[in-house]
Amino acid sequence: MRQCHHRFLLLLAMVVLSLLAGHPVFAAEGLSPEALKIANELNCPVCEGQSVRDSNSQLAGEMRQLIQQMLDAGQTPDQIKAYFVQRYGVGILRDPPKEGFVWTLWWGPVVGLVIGIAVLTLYFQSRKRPSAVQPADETDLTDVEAVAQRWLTSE
Amino acid sequence: MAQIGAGSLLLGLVLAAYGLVASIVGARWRLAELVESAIRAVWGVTAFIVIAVAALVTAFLRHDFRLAYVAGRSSRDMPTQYVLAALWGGQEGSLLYWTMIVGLLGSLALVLHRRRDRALIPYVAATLLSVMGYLLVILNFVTSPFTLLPTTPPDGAGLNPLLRDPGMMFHPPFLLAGYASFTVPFAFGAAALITGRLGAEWLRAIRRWTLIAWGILGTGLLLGAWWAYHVLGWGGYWGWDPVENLALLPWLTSTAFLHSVIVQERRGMLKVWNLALLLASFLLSVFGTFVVRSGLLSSVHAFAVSPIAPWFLGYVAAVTIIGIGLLIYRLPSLQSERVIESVTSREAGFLLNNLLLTAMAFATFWGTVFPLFSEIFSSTKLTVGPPFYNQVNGPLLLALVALMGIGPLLAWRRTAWRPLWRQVRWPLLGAGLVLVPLLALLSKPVAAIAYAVVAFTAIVTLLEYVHALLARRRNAHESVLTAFVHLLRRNNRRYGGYIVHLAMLCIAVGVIASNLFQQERQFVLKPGEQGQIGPYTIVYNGLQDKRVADAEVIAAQVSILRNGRQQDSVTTYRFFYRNYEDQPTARMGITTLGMTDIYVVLDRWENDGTASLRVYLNPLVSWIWLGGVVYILGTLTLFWPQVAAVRLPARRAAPEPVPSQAASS
Repeated sequence: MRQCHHRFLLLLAMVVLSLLAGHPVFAAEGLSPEALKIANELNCPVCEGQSVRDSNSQLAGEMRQLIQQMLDAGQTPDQIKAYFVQRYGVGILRDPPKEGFVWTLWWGPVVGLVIGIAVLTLYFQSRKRPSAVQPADETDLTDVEAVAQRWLTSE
Repeated sequence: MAQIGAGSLLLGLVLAAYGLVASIVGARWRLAELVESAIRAVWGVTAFIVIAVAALVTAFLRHDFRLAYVAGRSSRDMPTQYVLAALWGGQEGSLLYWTMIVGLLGSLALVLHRRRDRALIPYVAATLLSVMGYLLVILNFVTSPFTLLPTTPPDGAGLNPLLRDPGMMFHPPFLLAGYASFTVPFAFGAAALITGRLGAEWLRAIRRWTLIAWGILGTGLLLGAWWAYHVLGWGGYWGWDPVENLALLPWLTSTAFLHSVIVQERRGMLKVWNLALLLASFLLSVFGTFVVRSGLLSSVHAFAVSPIAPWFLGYVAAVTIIGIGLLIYRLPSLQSERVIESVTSREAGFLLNNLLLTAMAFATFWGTVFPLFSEIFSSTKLTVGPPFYNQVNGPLLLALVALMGIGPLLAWRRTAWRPLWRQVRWPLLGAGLVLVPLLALLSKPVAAIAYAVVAFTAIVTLLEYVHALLARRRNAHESVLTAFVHLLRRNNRRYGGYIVHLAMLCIAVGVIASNLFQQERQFVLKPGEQGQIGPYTIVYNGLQDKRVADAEVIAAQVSILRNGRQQDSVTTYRFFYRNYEDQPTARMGITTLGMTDIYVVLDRWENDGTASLRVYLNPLVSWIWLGGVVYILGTLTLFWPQVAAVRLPARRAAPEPVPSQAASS
């Protein structure tokens, strides 16, 4: 009987524990706007696409706390970011400095746009000449109709 | 149910294979009966797929946990609507749903175009059957939704918690349907290329079906943004996540297509380019579908790594090669009929529009796949995030908005400067009137400039309506409303298009404000304590812990005060679903006061009720949702049945003021 009672208590404790286990049960200390700003410049390492500021993950929460503690200890934002880069690599920065391989990322679209503009320019150049002799076509007729219509309706 | 489903998938595959052979043989040797039989094969395959979907849905509703797919994605205590939504909760179901949409829209297209586009139809059917057949091979032999478990579990695992949200009932089906529906215009494009019938007649069909796909995909994207805003809790609606990016790509290329196809209709130019855009939209859709579920790129959307990767990459590669090959083969018959004469012409404006849209698509694609390159070619693992996309796409988007204003004022062939100036001077003045006070009021000059550009385009667009409405009123003495309806009826491509433009401007207003002027604070509060953000005071009223059928819900209640007076109160939730306790999800407390959203996220809490809250002020986000509604309505007006006269190719209804000449009257 006693044994049974014991078991029940144990079971109850386990149920309570298992209910609590999934939850982050500690509230963090408040973050200053400066800490939030730094957190928004870092990628959350475990959840792709979100910043440390905006992520709901446990790790991001701990990182936010660490940032606040480092700020309180008198470190500058650059020092704090350098610390995280040293730990996680340059990929932790949301906007990594445009040097080395990162450079390729930024020049890709520029090169693409330049090629696009070049192709368009060539297209215009190569097509320009015969235009002088081009006869009127039905597009022009529609335009004439439209002008006539405007003229009629404005009377 | 599993047998019925698996059986009909197999029969569908056999029928698709037959239909494919029948359509090609029938077209090659002009055997009308075989072609007819191929068309019926499309309908038959579709019917088999619908039966398979019905079987899967029935299995879900009956909680038939013998099926691995059902057991893996639903449970007995899940609400019925989420049991139904579990259909697209995983890879197998999504692909099955995708295939069904291809079948349904393809069948509809065959019904509608069977008589009119007789020459194209066999190859349209063949293309549809090849796409469906390929997917059926995957669904039958690689990743079947009807795989049985060796032992039947007493209950299922339940749906991924992120998917248990009302937004997920609508976002995935619209997005997947948008992707799938690009197959229909692609089928028409492929048929035109194969037959060499590249005249004007196929364009109308392709344009309409692209418009449908573009509308559905756009709606899916908007619903996704709405879902992210309410559930993901980073205070935003668009995170430049790889999957979001890839979904945006076919939308961008098809937007480009819908504009440049006008040049082809009116001037007989850009034929190769348009077909390339069509091909790209389809390929990007397939690529997007596959990346969502494959885990190739890490993303909040990738729920599992799967064995289908080589199948999809192989397919994309094969279609690319065949498509480009066909384009090169048909180059001689795709010569431009006319030339561009002036840089200040409508056709040049459309070209610039295409340049900007494809540049955005390219930049987005580049940023999305860059992490793959960076891992291959350099040791650093990079994440390309919002700073890159905002800095690259932001200016392109602004240029596009400006062009949206200038473009409609340009005449075909060439525009004289004087009438153009007379048309833009009032909008420019309006833009100036917006610019000067905003430069003084706003802390960021970029925002003032962006709003001035938006104002310019808005005024131009509204003046287009005003001119047309006044002309109709003078002409027919109609009321403004009747005139507006007639305007849309007679020329919905122009005036319905403007509605979509206005929707984009509306969205731009919200995007600019919420990107540049978001404020955020973080508070740790005991019940009854308060914090200050902007002009608002946040009072935390305490936590509640509830159990619902399949989850534990933590709810934090917050009152919002301004100047000491209560404005509103919101509740922000955290959910812990059974079997997914380690993946808590959330629903944000959001309320709109004036035009600012107050957005409250519950981060952490202690047993004594102390809570850590993140609060964002997001200005003008409601404009984005308003713009979304206008986008959908505007797209619907584009399908408004047209007055017969407008159907003539290369001609428009007469009472359309052509702006550049308008001023000279």
